[in-house]
Amino acid sequence: MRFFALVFLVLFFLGCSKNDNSEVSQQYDAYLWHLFFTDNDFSTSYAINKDANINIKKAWDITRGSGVKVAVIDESFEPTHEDIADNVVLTYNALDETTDVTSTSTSHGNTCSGHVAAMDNGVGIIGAAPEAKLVLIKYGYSDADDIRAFNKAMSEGAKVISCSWGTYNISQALSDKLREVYAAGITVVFASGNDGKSLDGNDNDESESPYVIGVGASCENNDVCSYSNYGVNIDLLAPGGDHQSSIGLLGLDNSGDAGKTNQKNLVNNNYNFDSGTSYSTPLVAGVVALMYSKNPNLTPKQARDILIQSAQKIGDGVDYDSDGFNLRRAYGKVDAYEALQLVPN
Amino acid sequence: MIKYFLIVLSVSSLFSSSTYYEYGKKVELTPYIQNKSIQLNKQDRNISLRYYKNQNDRVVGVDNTIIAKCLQQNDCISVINKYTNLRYKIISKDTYIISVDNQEEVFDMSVKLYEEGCFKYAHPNFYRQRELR
Repeated sequence: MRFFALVFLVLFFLGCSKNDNSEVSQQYDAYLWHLFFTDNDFSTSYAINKDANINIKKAWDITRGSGVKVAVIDESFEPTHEDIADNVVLTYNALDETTDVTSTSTSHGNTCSGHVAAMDNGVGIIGAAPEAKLVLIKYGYSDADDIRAFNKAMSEGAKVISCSWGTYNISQALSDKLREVYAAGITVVFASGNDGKSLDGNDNDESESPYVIGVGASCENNDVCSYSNYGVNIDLLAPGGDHQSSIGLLGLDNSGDAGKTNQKNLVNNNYNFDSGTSYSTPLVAGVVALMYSKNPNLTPKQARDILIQSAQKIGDGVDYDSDGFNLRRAYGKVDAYEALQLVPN
Repeated sequence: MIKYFLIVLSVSSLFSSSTYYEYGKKVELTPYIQNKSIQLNKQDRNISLRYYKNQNDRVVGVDNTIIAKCLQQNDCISVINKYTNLRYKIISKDTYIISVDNQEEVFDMSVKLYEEGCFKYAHPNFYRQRELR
């Protein structure tokens, strides 16, 4: 009898100690401050605020993005990277109309796609929606290339499109395409930029379009990053970090020798620390993927309204207006769990 | 004085019209660099662009193509076919890339097409400076 009681107790405690979300621990969990707080030497060294994350662990109890495709449109990608390979369902080059999206010049596209859907595979990091699938689209140069890129995302069934780039000079052709994508029930997310300036002057940026969610960056101290562009048409913040004054976000680099940048002696070459509104954007895209996973019939307007309504008002002693808006901080920082709570079944 | 006039005249003649319609209003661009080649892809596909600045000092490149969205598809095709110097390719159900034989005619032809009344927009297929963020 005592033996069975002992077995019961052991099993009970094993069950309790198992992670609530049944996810695999990632190699670099300790550095993923943008997703969840870990009290360790790293968080102390870099003065990471315990609330600087997007409250994702409880969100993963509800969904991890299964059944949703997210298109990432960027300069280039490494689709075989160890932390995204199994989530990549399609690659497309909008310039050549081929499937070759590779380049060795930048890891930007890798980093963005990893923040959306790096896999729960025990290595490296994890994305905001680790069970979402990725459509990786290499952009070209012209309006026609952009239209081909968005057309491909639509035809492949992406529900979310993440764009960590901009021109400050959107054309009517692209603006019209964004309206069409919105009308098709697809949520597009654009980065606001890293020049620390207001977009309310003469700029006519993609992130200001009424048909997209414009995203700025919050920092390790859980307030807006000084470099984050802002304006009346920017909607939300998400962690973008600051790798110069603090540590930035840990994301995917190019693999192996091609990825020898900014490891901070903490991670291997396949990963690096970097910062910018570029990386805030795929985090929001990942959260939107979770929302579509819970309810595929959500409209882009509903998705935006829910993200705004559930955002955390950050900044000590900062006033938000009666609509909940602050010019530098938009409607606040995205909160994955609270957003999912507001998504109707 | 005449010398300066001739210089101004000759510089301006390097570029033909640089006006197009955007949201139904005429927009004027300022010539910036006459011709510059860019490499488009790994296969060394080069393209020659003319560069212009808009009112906000943003630089755009222009090749010999126009991007246009059609309001009534049959009307648009017959309008394009009226011009012997134009060829078109459909890139989505109502969006066309229209090539002009002579690069210098891109702005003029985009204005003519827009003024035909069957296009929602018809403007040069702009190459814009894009920044990763």
